[in-house]
Amino acid sequence: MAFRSATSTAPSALFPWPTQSVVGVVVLVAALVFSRVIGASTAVLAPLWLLGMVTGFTLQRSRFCFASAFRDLFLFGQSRILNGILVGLAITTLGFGLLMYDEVPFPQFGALPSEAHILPVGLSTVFGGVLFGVGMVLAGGCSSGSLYRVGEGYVASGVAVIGMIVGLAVLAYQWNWWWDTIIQHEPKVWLAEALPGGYGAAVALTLVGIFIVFLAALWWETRNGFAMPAINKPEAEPPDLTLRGRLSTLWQRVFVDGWSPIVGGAVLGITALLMYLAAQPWGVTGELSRWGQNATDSLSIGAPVLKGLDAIGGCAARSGEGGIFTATFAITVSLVVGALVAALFAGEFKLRFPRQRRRYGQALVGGIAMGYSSGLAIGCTIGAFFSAVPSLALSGWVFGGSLAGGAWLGVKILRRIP
Amino acid sequence: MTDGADQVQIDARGLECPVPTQQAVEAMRRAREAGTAETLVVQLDDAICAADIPFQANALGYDADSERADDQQWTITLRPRNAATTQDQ
Repeated sequence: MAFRSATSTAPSALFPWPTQSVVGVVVLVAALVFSRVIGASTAVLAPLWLLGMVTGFTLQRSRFCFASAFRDLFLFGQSRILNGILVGLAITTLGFGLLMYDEVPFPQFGALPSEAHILPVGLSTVFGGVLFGVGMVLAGGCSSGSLYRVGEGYVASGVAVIGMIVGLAVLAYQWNWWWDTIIQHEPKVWLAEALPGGYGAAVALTLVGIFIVFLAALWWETRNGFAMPAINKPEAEPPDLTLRGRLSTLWQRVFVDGWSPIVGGAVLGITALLMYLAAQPWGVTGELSRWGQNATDSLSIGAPVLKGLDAIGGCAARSGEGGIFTATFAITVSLVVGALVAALFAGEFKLRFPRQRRRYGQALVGGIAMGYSSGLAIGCTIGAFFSAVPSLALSGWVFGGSLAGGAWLGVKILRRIP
Repeated sequence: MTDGADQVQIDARGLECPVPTQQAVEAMRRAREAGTAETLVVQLDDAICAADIPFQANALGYDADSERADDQQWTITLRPRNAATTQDQ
């Protein structure tokens, strides 16, 4: 009956992995100082940077991975991480509802909350979602997942991020075609406006939708014969009730042992809410897209002026921001730093080169697919899903469903790779 | 994978999420279907899978005992909880 925590080898040491913890403190202090630097010109960048660090820290601690949330439904028939996402979505739905109500109290008059991720919904959402779903399964992590794993030292995840930047840059050349032919004709459906009951009905329907997904995943688990019995708790060691002992236990729980996906989802939900309160909802694609464009521009092979970006909002509008230290920089680069700090405190940082060479190819191809599709769908698992569903946007649900379809397809492909 | 073998070793070092979990789950499922009761020993260095495998094992009727070495190496021993009952499930 022995289930022991994977990290219980040094339970009594206050700093179980001294070198890494010391480096972690140094990185943390440097990152905190940097929040002052980045906030000097534009004050809001400081809280965004700090909140971004919290997202990275939380992703690493709870092993929160949108790719595995969808993939594991089909690969292992289980929904442990998906449930964490659902908890996060329930929190953000209530909070986003209040924040949007504050800006647009009467949704029926047609005004949309300016920063909310209410995106065009149609073919681009479905195609983008399916392609992204395939890409994230092949790459072994979505955009936020690959970024946090870069912070832990996964080299192949870095390749996936580079692939994403490439994919976004490629899409930039074809964007105007997509815009003229498809995206400009797609409606932005905001449930608060579309439903007769306004915010109340939209929030209620979204929460019901989240609950239905929970029930469906539960049914799926049992159908696959995957009934999760209560996991055996670690056998109680005699508790060390001294102050030192209790501090050590606390340190161990927060910084060394992993958090459950439910805790991770709740913390991410609250962090995303604070981010929207400070400036804008959480998104990752905008910054990666900016890097791709800066790279092609600096080589004088830049894409033509992209049409319609201001009309779209979400990650697309932000990809055009100039300068180095923008809001997207503050919430994206900080994610990697936060994950690095978390990995160092847990003694889990290590440069990891995959044993199988083809892992690099898989990461690159998956990354390019993710980049192209997130450009098309105007966001990834974060911007077009985790920030769009609570924005009461229909696009979030369509993208989420398409992600699941893509993940299913991705698992089929993954199983065929020897 | 012969019946009566005491231990089956799975060396998943250098493999990244989800491959080690996949290998462990497939081995447990195969053993369950064949009704064998051998212990599986998985060696890996992927922290994500090291955290995930005990959950997967638990749901498949295995007890997981995870040992972490200082250098990011995990050895997870998976023992079938009860060969007779797992077969019925």
